[in-house]
Amino acid sequence: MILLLCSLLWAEEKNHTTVIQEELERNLSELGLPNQERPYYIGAYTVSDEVSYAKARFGALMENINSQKNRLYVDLRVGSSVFDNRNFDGGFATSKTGTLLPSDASPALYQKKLWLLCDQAYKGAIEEFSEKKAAYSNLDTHIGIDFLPIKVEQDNRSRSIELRDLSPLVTRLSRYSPKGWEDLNVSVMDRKRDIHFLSTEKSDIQKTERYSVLHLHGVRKTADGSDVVGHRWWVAPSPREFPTEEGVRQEMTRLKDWLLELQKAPVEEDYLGPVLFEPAAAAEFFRQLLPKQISGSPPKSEAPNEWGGTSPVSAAREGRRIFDGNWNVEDLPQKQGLLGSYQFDYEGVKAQNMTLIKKGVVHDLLMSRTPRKGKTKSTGHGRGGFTSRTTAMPSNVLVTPPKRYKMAKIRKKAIKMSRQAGNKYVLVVRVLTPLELDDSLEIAFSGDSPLSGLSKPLEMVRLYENGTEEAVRSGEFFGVDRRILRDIVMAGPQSSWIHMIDAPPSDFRANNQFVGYGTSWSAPAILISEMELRGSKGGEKHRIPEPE
Amino acid sequence: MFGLILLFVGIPTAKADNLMRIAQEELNRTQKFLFAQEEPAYWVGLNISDSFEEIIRVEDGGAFPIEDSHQRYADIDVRVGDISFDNTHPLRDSSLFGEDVHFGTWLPIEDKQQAIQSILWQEFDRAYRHSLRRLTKLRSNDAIKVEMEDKSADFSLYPAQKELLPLHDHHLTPEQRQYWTRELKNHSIDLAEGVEILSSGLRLHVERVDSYILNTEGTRIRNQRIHYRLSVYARTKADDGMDIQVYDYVDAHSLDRLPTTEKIASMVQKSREKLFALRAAPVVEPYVGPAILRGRAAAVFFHEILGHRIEGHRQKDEQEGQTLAGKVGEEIVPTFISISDNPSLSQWNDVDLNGYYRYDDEGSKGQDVSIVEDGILKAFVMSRAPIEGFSQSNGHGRREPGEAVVARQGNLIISASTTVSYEELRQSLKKEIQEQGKPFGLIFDDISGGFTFTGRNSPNSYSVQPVTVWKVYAQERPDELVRGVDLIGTPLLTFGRIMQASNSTQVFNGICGAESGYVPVSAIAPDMLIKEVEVQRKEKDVDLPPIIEAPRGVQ
Repeated sequence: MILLLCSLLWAEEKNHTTVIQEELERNLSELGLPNQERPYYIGAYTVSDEVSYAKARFGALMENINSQKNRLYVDLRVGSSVFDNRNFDGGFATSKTGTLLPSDASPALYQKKLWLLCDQAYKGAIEEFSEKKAAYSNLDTHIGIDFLPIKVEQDNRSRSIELRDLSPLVTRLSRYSPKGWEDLNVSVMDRKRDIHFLSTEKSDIQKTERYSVLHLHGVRKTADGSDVVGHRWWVAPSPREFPTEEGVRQEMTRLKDWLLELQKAPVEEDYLGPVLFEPAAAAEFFRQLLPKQISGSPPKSEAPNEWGGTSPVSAAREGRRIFDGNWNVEDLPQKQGLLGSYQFDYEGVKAQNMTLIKKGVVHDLLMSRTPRKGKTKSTGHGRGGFTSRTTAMPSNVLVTPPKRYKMAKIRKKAIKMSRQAGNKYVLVVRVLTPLELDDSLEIAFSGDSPLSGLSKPLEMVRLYENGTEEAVRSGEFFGVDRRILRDIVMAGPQSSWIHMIDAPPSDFRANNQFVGYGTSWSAPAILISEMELRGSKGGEKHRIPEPE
Repeated sequence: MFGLILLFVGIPTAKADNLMRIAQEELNRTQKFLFAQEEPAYWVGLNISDSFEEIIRVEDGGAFPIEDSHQRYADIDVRVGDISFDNTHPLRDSSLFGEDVHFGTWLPIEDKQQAIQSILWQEFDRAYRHSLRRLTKLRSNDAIKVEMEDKSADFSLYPAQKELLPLHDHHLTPEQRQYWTRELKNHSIDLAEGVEILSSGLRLHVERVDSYILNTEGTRIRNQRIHYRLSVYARTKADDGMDIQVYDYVDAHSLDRLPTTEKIASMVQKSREKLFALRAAPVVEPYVGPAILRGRAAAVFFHEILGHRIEGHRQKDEQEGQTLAGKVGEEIVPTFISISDNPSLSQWNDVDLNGYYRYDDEGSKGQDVSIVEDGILKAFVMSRAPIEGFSQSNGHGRREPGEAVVARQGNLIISASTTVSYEELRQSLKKEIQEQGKPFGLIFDDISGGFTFTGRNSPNSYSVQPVTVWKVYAQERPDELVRGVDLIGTPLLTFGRIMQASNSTQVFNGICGAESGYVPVSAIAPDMLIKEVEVQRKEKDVDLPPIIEAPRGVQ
C-alpha cells in the first residue's frame, strides 16, 4: 500500500507532457522481442475533440449534440527509416493505436494507457513488418526509404476557444412554412480540435484547429414526381464568419425561389457541347480533379500475387502536362486567415508554400513523411491519419490562368462554340455539388458506362444566344477525368477563397460535410470545349395530400 | 441468431400532451385518405419513442464527459389488403432487397405541430406506397408457390386500449450527477489497483423512454419506461493470452433502488477477486457430463434453448426450424417443470425486472402466459400475428424503435413443483458423477450471455457463455475454479436431461437481440441439475500479455 501511494505521488508530481515523453522513451528503449525488429520511432497524439452540432427541420429541433472526447493515439515504427513496417498493404494488424480517455485523466492514467497502446502498436508493427519483409524477399522494387527525415520542431499555438451553442440559430433559420417542401433542414456544427504531438524524435507541437459549417438543405417535388434538391452552405474558421442571420435568411429565400424555378424547369436529358463553370463552380471542379495530380504520397505497395496483380501506381507525376497553356497552381498553407492555414502539419513538419503546377506542367508535389521515389523531404502537408497512414493533402490552393477574360466575353465564346456543336444553348454551371454533399453511389463494373468523374451540377442554366437563361434540372456529367483540364479554352474572373472540409485524396471517401480537415480554394471561371451530360425525370407521387 | 447480452424518483408532470394530440391528428388525417384509396389500407399504427439517456462513465479515477442525449423516433406500420392476407405476408424466395414491411423516421425533439405533421405525413405516404407495391408482388408470389403450411391470417384484431399513464420527469439533477460521478470515481480507483488490471471502469446508465402507441382501431396509450443500470467492468489477460473480463451490474426502476456505497464497494471487491481468481484458474478441456446450472445460468439457458422457440412467429415462418410448432399438448420438459412469461411483473424477490412492461409495442396488454404446465407445452408468446391454434395476441409483440414487431419474451419464469435444497442438488451431482463414471462434474456459477440458432439453414443449437465454472469432484475434494469453456448443445436433447431443481431462484436481467432488435428481458430460474451437458473451448485471443513491465506510476 505504501509502495502504491509512493508511485501515485510520483506520477502526480509530473505533468502530462513529461509523463508522455518519458513513457515514449521507456518504450523506445525497452520494447522488443528476441529476433524481432525493435521500435525506432514512436509518436503520441493527445487530441481533445469538441463538437457542438444542431439540426432543425421545418423549424423544429431534431438533434442538439454537445460532445467532448479526449483521445490518445500512438504511432509506432519498427526496423529503420530505410525499411520499416509502413507503406505496405498486408494483413489486418495495425501499428497505429488509440483509446478514449477521461477528461480529467491523471498523468498516471496517461502513462498506463500509453504503455498498453505502445504494446499493442508494437505487436501490430511486428506483424506489419513481417508481411512486408516476406513480400519484398523476392522483390527489388523497394525505393530505399520508408520515413522521410525532418527538422525537429517545437511549437505551441494552442488557443482557448469556447464553442457556441448554435441550436437556437438553426431552429430560427428553418422556421419556414413546410408547405410545398419535401424537406427543409438547417444543420450547423462548430468544432475544435486541440492536438498535442510528441515523438521520440523530440517533436513537440501543440495547436488548435477550428472550423464551423452551416448547411441549408431543401427538397421540393416536381409535377412528374422528381425531387429537386438545393443546398446552401458556409464553411468558415468560426461562426462569426458566417453571414448575418438576415443574410442567411435571404439565401434561403433565394434557394426557395431557385427550387420553385427548378420545379418548372426542363430536364437536361442529353447534352454534348461546351460547358461554362462560374467561379465558385470552377473552384469545386478543380478541387475534385486536381488533388490526385498534386499530392505526392503514393498508394501503399502490395505483395505480388498469383493473379498477376501489381502494386497500385501513384496518379501524380512530375513533368506531366495538366493544362494546355501556362496555368499555375500553388498551395499556400502559410497564407494567413484561410481555413487551410497552418504552421506545422500532423507530423510536426513546418508547412511550405509551394508552386505545384508551373506553366501547365506538374512542377512539384505535396509530401508528407511518406516517401516517394525522387522526393527526399516532407513539404509539411501530412494531415490526419491518427489511425491510418498520414498522407499529403492540399491546404490553400490557388489556381491561376495564363489570361483572364471578362465573363461577357466568355459567355459569347461559349454560345458560339455551342452553336458550332449544333446546340441552341450552352450549359452554365453556377454551383457544382461539393463532394461531401454528393449522394451518388457509383460502382463501376467491367463493361458498364464510364463513371461520371465529377459531382452533379447543383445549379445549372441554359444560356441562349439572346442572353436569356433557363434553369435546367437532373443533368449529370459523364466520363470526366483529369484530361478534361486540357480542354479548358478560356478563363474568367477569380473566385474568392472558398472554404471546404476535405480529406486526403483516396479511392474511397465517406461523404460527410462535417468531418475532415479545412482547405480553401480559389480558381477562375472556366469554359470547357466539350462535356457530356445526361439526365432523367420521374419519381413517385404522393398518395396522401400535404397537411394544410 | 439471437443473442442475449449483459449490459431517483421523479414527480409526475402534468404537461400538456401536445405530442399525443399532434400524432393523433395526423393519424386521423392519414386514415381518412388511406382508407379511401382504391386499394385501401385497413390498419395503420404509429408508435413514438421519446428517449432520454444519461451516461456517467469513469475509469481509473477519471471521469468522461457525461453523455446526455434526447431522440425521438416514430415507427409506422401500414397494412394494405385484409387481415387474412396483407402486405406483411412472407414474400417467399424473394430477393434480399425486397420492399420494406416496416417504416420509421426521426422526429423533432420539440412538440412543434407543423414540423411533426409534415414529417409524419411523408413517412405515412412512403409507407403506403411501399406497402402497395409489396402487396402487388405478394399476390403473384402467392399464386406461383405451394400453400403455406400454416394458413392462419396475417393479423388479428385487438380491442382499442386507452390509457394515458403519467410521465415522470426523470433526469439526474446537477447535484445527483456530481454525487454519482464522485462516487463512481472513488470506486474506480480501488477497482483499477494492480498492474494486472489492464482496463476497468464503472458506469451509470439512466434511460427514460416515453412511448406513445396509437392505431386506427382507436388505441391511445402513453407509457414510460425508466431504467437505471450501474455496472462494474474489469479486464485482464492470462499468461496463455486469454482475455478475461468480468462484468457485474444492478438494474433498477428508480434511483433509490441503486446499490449503496457499501454495496458498490462489495461489487468492486468481488469483481476484482473473481478476475484474479480466473486469471490464475486452469483451462478446462472439452467435456460431456453432469452439471449444475446456478439460477442465473439456468435462466439464460432456458431463455436460449426454450424461450426463443416459443416465440409465436417462429412457428409460422417456413425459414424457421419450428422445433416446437407441432408439440402443443406434448411433454417437452420433465413434468416437474412449468414455464410462464409474465411481463406485467415489475419485481421478483425484491429484484427489479428488466422485462417488465404494461403494454407491448402493438398496444396489447402484457399478459401472464402459461407456456409449459407440468412439462406439457400449452402456448406460445404471441404478437398480433396469429399462428394455427393461437389467433390472438397475448401482449408479447415487441421491438426496438426502427424494427418490425415480432413475438418476444418479457419475463420468462421457470418454476419447479418438486425441489431440493442447493446442498442436496450438489449431492445429486456428485452421485451422478459417480454413476456416469466421470472424473468430475461442472457447476456453472455465472454467465455473461448466450445465443441460439433457430433457422433451418443452420443446425438448431445454442451456446451459453459462462464466466465462472467450477469443477466438482465426487470425492471429498474442494471445488476448483476453471475457465475457457462455453456451454453448447441442441434444444430437444437438452430438454429431456433436466433432472432436479433447487428451491431458490435467481434473476438474470439482460438485453436480448433478435430480428426486431434489442429489447430488455428477464429470466428467472432455480438452480438445475442437468444429466449431461457439453462444453467446448472458448474463442481466445492469442496476443502476449504486455511485453514490458508497467510504468512506475502504475505499479
